[in-house]
Amino acid sequence: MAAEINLTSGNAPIAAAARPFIEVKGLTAAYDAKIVVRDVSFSVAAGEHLSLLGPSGCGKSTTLRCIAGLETPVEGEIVIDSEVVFSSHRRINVPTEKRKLSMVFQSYAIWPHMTVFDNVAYGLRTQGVRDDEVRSEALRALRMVGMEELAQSSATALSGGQQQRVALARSYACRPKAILLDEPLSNLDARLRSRMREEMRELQRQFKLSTIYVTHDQEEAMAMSDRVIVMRDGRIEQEGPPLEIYDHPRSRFVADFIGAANIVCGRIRQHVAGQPVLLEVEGTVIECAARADLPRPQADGSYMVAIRAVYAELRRGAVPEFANHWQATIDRRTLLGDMVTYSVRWPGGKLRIHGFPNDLFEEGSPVHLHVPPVRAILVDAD
Amino acid sequence: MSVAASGAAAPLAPPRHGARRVRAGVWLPLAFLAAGLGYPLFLLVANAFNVGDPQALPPTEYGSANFVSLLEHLDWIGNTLLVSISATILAMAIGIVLAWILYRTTVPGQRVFEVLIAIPYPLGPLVGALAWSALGSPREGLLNQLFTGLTGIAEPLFNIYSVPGIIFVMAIFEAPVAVLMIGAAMQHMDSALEESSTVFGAGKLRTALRVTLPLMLPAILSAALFLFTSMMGAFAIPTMLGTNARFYVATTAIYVMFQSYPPNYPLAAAIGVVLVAITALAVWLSARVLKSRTHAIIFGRNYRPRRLNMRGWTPVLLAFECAYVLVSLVLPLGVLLLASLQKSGGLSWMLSDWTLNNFHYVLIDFPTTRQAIGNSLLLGIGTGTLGVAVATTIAWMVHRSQSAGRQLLEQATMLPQAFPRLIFAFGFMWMVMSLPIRLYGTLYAVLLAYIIVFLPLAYRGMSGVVVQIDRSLEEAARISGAHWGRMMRTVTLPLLRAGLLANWVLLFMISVREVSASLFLSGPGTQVLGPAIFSFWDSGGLPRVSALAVVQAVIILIALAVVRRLARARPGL
Repeated sequence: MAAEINLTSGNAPIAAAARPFIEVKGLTAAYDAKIVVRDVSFSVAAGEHLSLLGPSGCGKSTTLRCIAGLETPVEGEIVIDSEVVFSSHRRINVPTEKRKLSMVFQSYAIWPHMTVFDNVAYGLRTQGVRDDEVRSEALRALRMVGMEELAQSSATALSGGQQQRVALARSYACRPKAILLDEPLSNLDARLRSRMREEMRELQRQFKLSTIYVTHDQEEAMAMSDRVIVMRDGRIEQEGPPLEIYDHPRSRFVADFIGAANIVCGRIRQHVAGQPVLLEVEGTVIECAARADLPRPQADGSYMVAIRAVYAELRRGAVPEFANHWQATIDRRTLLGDMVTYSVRWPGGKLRIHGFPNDLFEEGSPVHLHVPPVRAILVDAD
Repeated sequence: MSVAASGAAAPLAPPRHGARRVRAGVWLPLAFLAAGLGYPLFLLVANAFNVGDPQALPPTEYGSANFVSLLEHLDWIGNTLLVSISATILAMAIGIVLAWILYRTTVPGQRVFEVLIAIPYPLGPLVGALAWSALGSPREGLLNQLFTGLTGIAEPLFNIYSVPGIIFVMAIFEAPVAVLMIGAAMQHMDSALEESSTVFGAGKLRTALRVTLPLMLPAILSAALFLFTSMMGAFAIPTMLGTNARFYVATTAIYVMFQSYPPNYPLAAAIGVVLVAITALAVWLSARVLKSRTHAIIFGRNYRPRRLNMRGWTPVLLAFECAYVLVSLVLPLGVLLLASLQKSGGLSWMLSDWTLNNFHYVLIDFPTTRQAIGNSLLLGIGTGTLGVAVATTIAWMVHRSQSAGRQLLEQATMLPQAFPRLIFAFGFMWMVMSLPIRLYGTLYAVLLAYIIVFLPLAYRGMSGVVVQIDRSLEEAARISGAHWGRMMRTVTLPLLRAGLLANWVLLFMISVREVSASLFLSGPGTQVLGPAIFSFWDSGGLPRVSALAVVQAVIILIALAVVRRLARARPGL
């Protein structure tokens, strides 16, 4: 009930929003004999936008389809708005159509034999809503995505971006408990993708519906989510707000998958709680961000540190005799437009570092390299 | 973790509702096919080894004597192979060229020819044989008469009652299947694959031989296999064009043994078993060849292949298309129409020699043909409706359900293709005679046989339709709150509509024209068109049998026109 109030009241208090609205517990799913999701648990608060992020085959889409009821999990429990919709040991499996959700598919799944209006009105009609109300609600949803004029046109005549908008209008029109999106932007070109991203974010702000968004595109996940779950091989690799995942990747996989990071391997020189960890790399020492315990080492006993390409700093002038300041050389410079990538040779090997076109370093020129210790993050090896 | 998960997987029955129906949807058709296909085959084999009383069922004594006496008639098998292989090669050559002209060149008139080239197949071999015997018989044949009249040479131009004549007529009436199957593959091929071959310096011919042909091979092989099996079982053409020359193939020999007194069922069954063994071998061989190749390159999205401008060759290719339409459609229908209007046996162009009495006779006066027309329409409607229903259910189970055994179901569904239809009908006849219920001599027996023999065709068509419908279209309906029934009514069936209709009409047409499968199953009171035309050919005289054939052709042409009309009324589907 609190969730209901939450949805309509506009400025929802954060405390109320923290109560789980969708809960997934111990979810395991398989195709034939192959297990694709292993013991996954997470929750979504009312009005929260959660992204499931990971490479193809990581189990993110299957997890979403289990929540929708389109796949039957092998084990686990799924609760939506205090109602158990699936439970393996209580033998509950509420069919898809009774879960009161909505979904946007990667292929949009716009019915080609109906008009745009009929597509959007479909969910309302199945609910038995009165005709005049169906009309006003469906048109309102179409207006929301700027497709009102095309209401009576055939769905086959639409472009990709328009189909995407109709799919969004359709999923908002039926007043669902939550919206599930399965890679909705992956079939659009880059420019349209970033525009749709903004529009979807805007709809999300307006309606405050709980949203689960599946994507393999880290930019989308970063830009739209309140919280991100990174998945890998059917398991949750890391979970948290976008910036936290970006700044503090837990493993080499997350550091690599999200943003551009340099992975440097070395041996631990000193590890004292509350003080920077000292890592020896190729004869030089890096001060890394302090942490209570050490991450998982590699098979040979060495440890990995992740340094984001944007957090390493290149400067001109003399190099001070402090930790994490080095004399380095620009090896290669690649201009990418809004950004410049340098390949930099330093005592520990090579680093990839992002800079901006307003202050360029020449290839072959000496440079002062600085990595702030809080930006050198020790991560789990594979 | 994985141990715990797989351990828990076993006891948990999938709670999804409708799961039980999925199971039944797989096992029921499997049981139906096992009974309807397996039992006739079993009876066929049992009879082939029957050396006791030839009429006894089940046999009282077993032995291989029938196969030994078959050794004296190896020419029947040899003739069958000669005719089938040659006609398959000729039909494939015609089909490949026509498909290539239609879909890969800029030769004009694609839309018109696409339709015209497809028609001979539903018209069928019976109409073809009848028409070509009226065109090419050495003395009375229309073309030979014209030749003699024009040149004054008494020697006929050609004799259709010959092995080349049989091969020619069989090939032109089966070629549309090859055009359809190969044309579909050509339309789905990514032309970038060919373009990259030219970029790397290969000429047109080299590209065609090294890239296009290997990519087309799966479609070519499966079309060739389809043609070969149906030609092994071909009956009307070899009988009507070969019996005069005492040229027997396996099917005509079986028919003769069936008709002779006393009928020699065991020997006929032995021939049938040999024929089935040959087609099974062909199926196995082509499966082996296809197994090593992936179809992935060809299927998938619909590419728009680049069409070649053939420049100077365009008139030649256009002439080839016209020639095909002439010999397979215009001349046969023309001569039948002309013959059906005659007062007496000859072929006169004089209006005063014309009459509509023959149509009056077959449509109204003569009860047997009148009844045959009605029965054939009923059977067409029944086979279309039930066949499409069964094929759609099976296609659904195979492509949409996760149920165990769906691959087996698909293989079992395609299995009737390996049986020449006449042979199957022979075994099927024994089955219905041995049943405790009185099925023999009823239309239901014919209906059942039709559904089984046409199932591969219907399944092929319907699975093409089902595969094209994106699964998420249905999932979107479920998630919008529609239960299974509502989803079927509002999304699935409307999307399937065009495909259902097209396949319904296809089944309707090929049941109306069928003769091999109904020859042994229809009898007095259950006459159907194909066998009626056949027995009329024996006894009724050319004008009347032509009138009946024209009636059959008109029914088929109307069905074709209806489906084209309906398809055009709803574009985009």
